Amino acid sequence: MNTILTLFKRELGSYFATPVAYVFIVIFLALAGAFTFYLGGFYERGQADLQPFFNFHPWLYLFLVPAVSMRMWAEERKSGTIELLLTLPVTMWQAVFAKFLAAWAFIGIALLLTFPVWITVDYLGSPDNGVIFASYLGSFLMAGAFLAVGSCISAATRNQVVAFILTAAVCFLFLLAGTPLVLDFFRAFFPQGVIDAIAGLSFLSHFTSISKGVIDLRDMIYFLATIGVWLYANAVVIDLKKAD
Amino acid sequence: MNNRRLLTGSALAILAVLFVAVVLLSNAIFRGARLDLTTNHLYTLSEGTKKILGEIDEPVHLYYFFSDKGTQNNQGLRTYATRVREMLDEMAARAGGKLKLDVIDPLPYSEDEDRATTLGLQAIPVGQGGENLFFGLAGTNSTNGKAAIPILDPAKEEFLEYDVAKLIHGLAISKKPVVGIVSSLPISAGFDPSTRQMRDPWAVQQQLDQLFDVRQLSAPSLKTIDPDISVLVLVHPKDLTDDALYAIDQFVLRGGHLAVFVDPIAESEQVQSDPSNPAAAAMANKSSDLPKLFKAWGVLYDPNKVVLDRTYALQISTAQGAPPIRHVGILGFTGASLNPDDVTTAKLQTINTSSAGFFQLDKDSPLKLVPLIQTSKDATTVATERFKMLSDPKQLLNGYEPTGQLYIVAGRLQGKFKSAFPEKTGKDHLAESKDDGQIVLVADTDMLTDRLWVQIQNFFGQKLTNAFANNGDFFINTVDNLTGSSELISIRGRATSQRPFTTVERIKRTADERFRTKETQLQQELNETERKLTELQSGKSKDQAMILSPEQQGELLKFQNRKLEIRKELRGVRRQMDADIESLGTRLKMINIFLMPLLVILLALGFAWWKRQQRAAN
Repeated sequence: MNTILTLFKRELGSYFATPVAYVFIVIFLALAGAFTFYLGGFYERGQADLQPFFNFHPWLYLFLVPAVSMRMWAEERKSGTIELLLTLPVTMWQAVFAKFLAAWAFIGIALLLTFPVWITVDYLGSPDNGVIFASYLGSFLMAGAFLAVGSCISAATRNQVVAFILTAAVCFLFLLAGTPLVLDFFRAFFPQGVIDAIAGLSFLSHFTSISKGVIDLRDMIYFLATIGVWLYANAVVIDLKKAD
Repeated sequence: MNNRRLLTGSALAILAVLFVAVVLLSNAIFRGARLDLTTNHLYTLSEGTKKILGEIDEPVHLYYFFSDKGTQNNQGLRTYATRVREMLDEMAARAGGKLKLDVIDPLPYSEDEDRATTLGLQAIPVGQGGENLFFGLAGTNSTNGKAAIPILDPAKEEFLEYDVAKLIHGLAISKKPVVGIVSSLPISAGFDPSTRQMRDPWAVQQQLDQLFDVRQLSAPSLKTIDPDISVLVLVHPKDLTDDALYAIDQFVLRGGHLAVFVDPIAESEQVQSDPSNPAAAAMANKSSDLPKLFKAWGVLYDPNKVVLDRTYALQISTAQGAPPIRHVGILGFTGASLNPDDVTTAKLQTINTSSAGFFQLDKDSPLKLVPLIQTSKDATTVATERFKMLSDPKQLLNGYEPTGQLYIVAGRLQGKFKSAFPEKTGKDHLAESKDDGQIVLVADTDMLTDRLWVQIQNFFGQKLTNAFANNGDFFINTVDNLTGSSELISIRGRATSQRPFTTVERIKRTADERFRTKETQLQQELNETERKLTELQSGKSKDQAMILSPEQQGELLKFQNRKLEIRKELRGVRRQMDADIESLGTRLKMINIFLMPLLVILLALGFAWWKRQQRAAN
């Protein structure tokens, strides 16, 4: 546990050592605000809830999370530090987990810094704060799922651009799994049961269900299982590529 | 090497399968394990529902029809269908085996489709091929009772629990509720002595007959109220005997539900015309009251006062060709005036009333009066006498001063009622109700008359009703709601949608007040000018009467200039309000879009500078 903590601190610290982290946070905050007020029409619709704010989160993550995750392993591989990391007295699991937690905490910080919008809505009216809290939790879990996907893909390639594009593409599929666009494609081959199962794999439907204000054990299990599975795959991939 | 690759590949494949399996399994196992964080606990069954479910004696069978295949392209509807399904599952789990649930996917042209129609579901036609979609709930009980929700409308989500609980409750008690009516107005069919013809019942009565077992009770001979009767409707009670009052009093204390319609002026009340004094009919007392019972309940109601409201005043035409004018005594309640959280008034668009009264609750009363229909703050009251003498509705605006109070035109009285006859004794006498009771009070009877809400046309012998207001819905909702048990009534609709920006509303309200003050000022100045003009006119000689004197012209000109000025000020108030709202919005946008990023940038720069200092120091 201590090893994980040490690694976690080192990783998180390294984010803030470069301007990239600040640029990321600034872009995330500015876009989240602009989308909420301009595309979502938050002020004009006059309703004291944060729907226009959270509705854009999946799409913001779609581009910003791959940008964070692309360098998680690809960078280490490219610069050769991956060998160094793996010769340290840490297990593969600890390394994968600590790196993931650091990146997740980083996105969590970015998410926390959106708090003025919560204050704004509380100033303007009396929103259902339980719903807002649940939405934040759902958004954070969804970010974790995006990140786990990105972490695994970053480990599979040396090239950061490839990692970015592949991550965005896979996440896009996971996001869209519940929409007719994807379901229609699968409908040609599978019975309805399978289609519903695919729809049940969608980030979007689980996020929407949490952001209604209900923390359903099934949604929690879904996100945690997604994170766990992709991180496990991450470790397997690194193990396989170690020799390359 | 190849071996390793293969091994890893298969490990990943197994992992993927495992993942899907975990998600699917948890979907099946952990249904209903959730934490409801919403303020109103929107997604948790209420106590009333649990009680109804616990009290089912004979098994009830529910059939949930959802066209699974037909709705493949409608994910929104599917999400709602899942929500309905989960709620039904939870209800079935809580009923201890007394509630059976069948989930049916009626395929096009199947027997299930016919069954859905027989059970009372409504088909939603989709596609050109005549395929139908079903999304509704039907139920049966052991005594062949049937009930259905023809379509589960996602727009009515907040009343889903109430609707389903009502359906189950209706099946569990298994007989048509009996509604008793005591009315001094010609609400039911009968012989009309003035036209010497049979007259039709009012549209509200016709609707009532379709849904309930309705019994007309005669007020003079009313001594007891049959225990069969679950809801008693009093329309325009006039001079009820003590026996009748005692019967009603005990009915309420026994747990019976009551709806009372009283009125300061019931325009439909027929008064015997007196040939020697034709004006007497116009001045006759057409009010009704229930003083003894109201006093016992702590309800304050004055039959000598009529509510006026400028906000909800309806336009009426007084004469052929004349432009319609707003009548502050004839009101069309909409929007905020109709309680959105009560199942009887939520979702209704308009309720029209005419010369309505209002209720208040004595401050010592232990009961609760929940408003169902309420005036705006721009309301006041006027003596009934003045209303009767009225030749021109515009006169009501003279000296109109809103009291700023919200008057309750219709309300729901809840709590433990006390008898109005404490002196009576006897083995069946009740001094107080055991459980919380429900009484709906409405201070207008004209709202039940056809002229205020429905047009009836004769179409080849068929009567077509064409409603232009929701008065009938309100009446039926009220009676329907009161036929339910108190548990059922306690399941409130849980409105989710309306959480307005109160800060912005406040800006608007302040501006509105300023606007109104200015308007009143303008009106006063107009009156003043008119007075001066008349004064000047009276001072003139007869031959000059048709010509404006220079003084009059001057006065008129002065007023016109003043009018322009005030108009300008009024426009200024509006403009200022818009600007205030907009600038608040801009400020908030700036804070949310730029403030935080700016702080982060400053922090980063500060951090970099500090680091450089550190390095330089080293």
